[in-house]
Amino acid sequence: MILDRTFLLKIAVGLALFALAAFSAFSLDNYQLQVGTSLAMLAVLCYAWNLVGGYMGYPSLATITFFGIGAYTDGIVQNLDQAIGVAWLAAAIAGAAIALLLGAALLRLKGHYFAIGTIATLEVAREIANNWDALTGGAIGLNIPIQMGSPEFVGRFFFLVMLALAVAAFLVTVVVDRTRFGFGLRCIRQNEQAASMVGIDVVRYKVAAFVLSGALSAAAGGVYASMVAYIEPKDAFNLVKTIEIPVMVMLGGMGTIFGPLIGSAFYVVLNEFVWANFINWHSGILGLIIVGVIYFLPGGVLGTRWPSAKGRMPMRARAAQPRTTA
Amino acid sequence: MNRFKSALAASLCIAIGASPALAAETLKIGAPLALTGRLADAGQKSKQGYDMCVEAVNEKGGLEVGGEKRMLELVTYDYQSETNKAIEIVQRLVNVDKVPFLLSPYGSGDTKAAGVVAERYGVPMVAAAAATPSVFDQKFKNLFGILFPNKMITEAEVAYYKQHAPDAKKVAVLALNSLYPKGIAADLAASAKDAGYDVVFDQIYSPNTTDFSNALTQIKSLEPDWIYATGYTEDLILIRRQMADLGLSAPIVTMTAGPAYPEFASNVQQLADNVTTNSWWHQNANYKDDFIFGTSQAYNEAFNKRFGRDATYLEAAATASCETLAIAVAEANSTDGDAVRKIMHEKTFQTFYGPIHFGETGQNDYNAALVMQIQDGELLVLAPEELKQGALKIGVPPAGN
Repeated sequence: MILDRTFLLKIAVGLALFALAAFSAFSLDNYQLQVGTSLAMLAVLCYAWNLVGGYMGYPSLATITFFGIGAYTDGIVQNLDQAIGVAWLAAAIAGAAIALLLGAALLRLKGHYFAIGTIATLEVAREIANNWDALTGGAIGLNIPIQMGSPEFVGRFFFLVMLALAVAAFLVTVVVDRTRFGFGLRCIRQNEQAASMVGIDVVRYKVAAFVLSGALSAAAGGVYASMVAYIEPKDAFNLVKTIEIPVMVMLGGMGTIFGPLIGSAFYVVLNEFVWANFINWHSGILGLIIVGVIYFLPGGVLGTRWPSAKGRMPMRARAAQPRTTA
Repeated sequence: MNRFKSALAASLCIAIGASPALAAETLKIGAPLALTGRLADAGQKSKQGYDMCVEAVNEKGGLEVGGEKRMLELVTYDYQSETNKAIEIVQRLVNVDKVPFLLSPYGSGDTKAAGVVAERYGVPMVAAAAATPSVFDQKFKNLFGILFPNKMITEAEVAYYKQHAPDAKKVAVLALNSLYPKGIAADLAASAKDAGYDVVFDQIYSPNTTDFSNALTQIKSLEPDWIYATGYTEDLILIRRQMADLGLSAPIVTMTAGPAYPEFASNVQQLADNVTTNSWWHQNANYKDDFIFGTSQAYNEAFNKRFGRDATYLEAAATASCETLAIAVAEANSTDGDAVRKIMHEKTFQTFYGPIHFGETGQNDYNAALVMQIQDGELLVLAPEELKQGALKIGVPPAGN
């Protein structure tokens, strides 16, 4: 692992932020905790996507497939009278296992083909959840045992669990960013054939990143399902969300350790603002703003050298240089 | 700007010392609404239903609670048709706005998820648009459902046709693969089997199907006496047209729930004739209501005057959900959750929506299912007997003009 002083400082800042959030859990009201939990969940999903979409450059739209698989695994396992922790672990394992199978097939595709392939997984997963009544409850949905305790306790519990997952996702990203593994992923993003020629085991690297991403997404799905205590196919496998996640990371900065965090927070704030002010044209205006942001800040908030942002520095020019910013 | 104005108004009130007699606090009812997103249309309708109730109650001077007249105030937020957002909003309504009562989000799934939160806080929540019994099967103390289970509708239908079309033996069921259409079709197939019908065809179709000829040709070869199709109104319009194109007819053709809406008949014209349907509510089933509106038809007239179209079961159930809460609060003479909950669980509410009794699970268990048929362009109630407007006509026109 290559750690210079700047990078250590960044890790410290990140961890301090998370610690601050954890302490705030004891002063926030339940509504704020609920919003915080959603935000933490989005951050986990963004970090998960960032491994595949950001570092490796594969535009995956399967994040929510794994999220949904995690949600259903959690529900099914808890309904077998297992503890909540066991169910979350099972969710992560199921996400990883299915990512392994899917990855082996899908990662042979590139670019648009890969994107379409991954989005198909979402549709297929939803159809399976819709029709396999005995396992998933079908379109009627699945009841999950309700977490006992006062609203305050439950609110804090799920917030802290989701936050812990976000910290884990952050640390995974830190490790990936600073090790040979992350270096290999960046090589694959820039030129897969060249990466293969210099001795990187391209297939293994790609599948490993996909599996990590799947496990994180599925764990988030598992925690979400326990919190909501009821899941149905259209909520677990939500098409809009699977597109929103990459947008968030793009807004924050792809292939960086803070991009997913900043992007998810920025997107949520932006979404709330536009929604509160333009209720009827909300989706259209949000879309325009996103297109605008991506056009003027193609590297996201973090991937932009601010003094030159006016000149719209092309992403490609920077991508060619060794990346020193995070 | 609005915040500034209300701050100004608030300080003005303090300045002139608003008298406590005037300032009987409003009674807040929280309602997460799907105003944008996938359920926007249904969400708007729910809001119209809630508004009808709040306006009617306030027009008659509000509710008498503990010697004070309390006006109703609906506190709403848009949850953008997202389950996760609906939960956030319920949290907000309870923690920030401190509402003592809730109306549920739209649909079974979101109702369930919001119901879990309401149960944790012990805040009574009435659901206007959740019919699936599994939503209620955990016996929450605080969740009440206006719509009685699908199964009651299908049982009423089977019983009616068994009596009025005794020659019918074979049933074909074609259902859209979506929560409600699939659920009610499955219930119908089960009810029909129980009653001795032969279910010769029982299949589902995917959302956005436009060509039904494959399924319809199969159905035609089986010569069923009763065709039962479910789906959204657009699907049913297509199915009815393609049935005519293929020359498929049957003594009984039931479609749920499209023919209950005027769009169905206006689209398929004469082909709508003798198509039967069902509903939780229709203004033609004229119930009496002593609390607000007077009768079902008076409700519909008031609704039409306000919104320029007829009310459907959706708006009526929304109005009724708020009405049952209001009646319970007035009768409890208190806004205390326990007192209101007790009345909600025990009372049978006589409303324009029909009798409502929240059974053991909290879901309405009073079966007031309507069997209806379009005859010469008019939608008539065939059953229940006491609301009957016409007799069953057998056979649908085999082809359009």
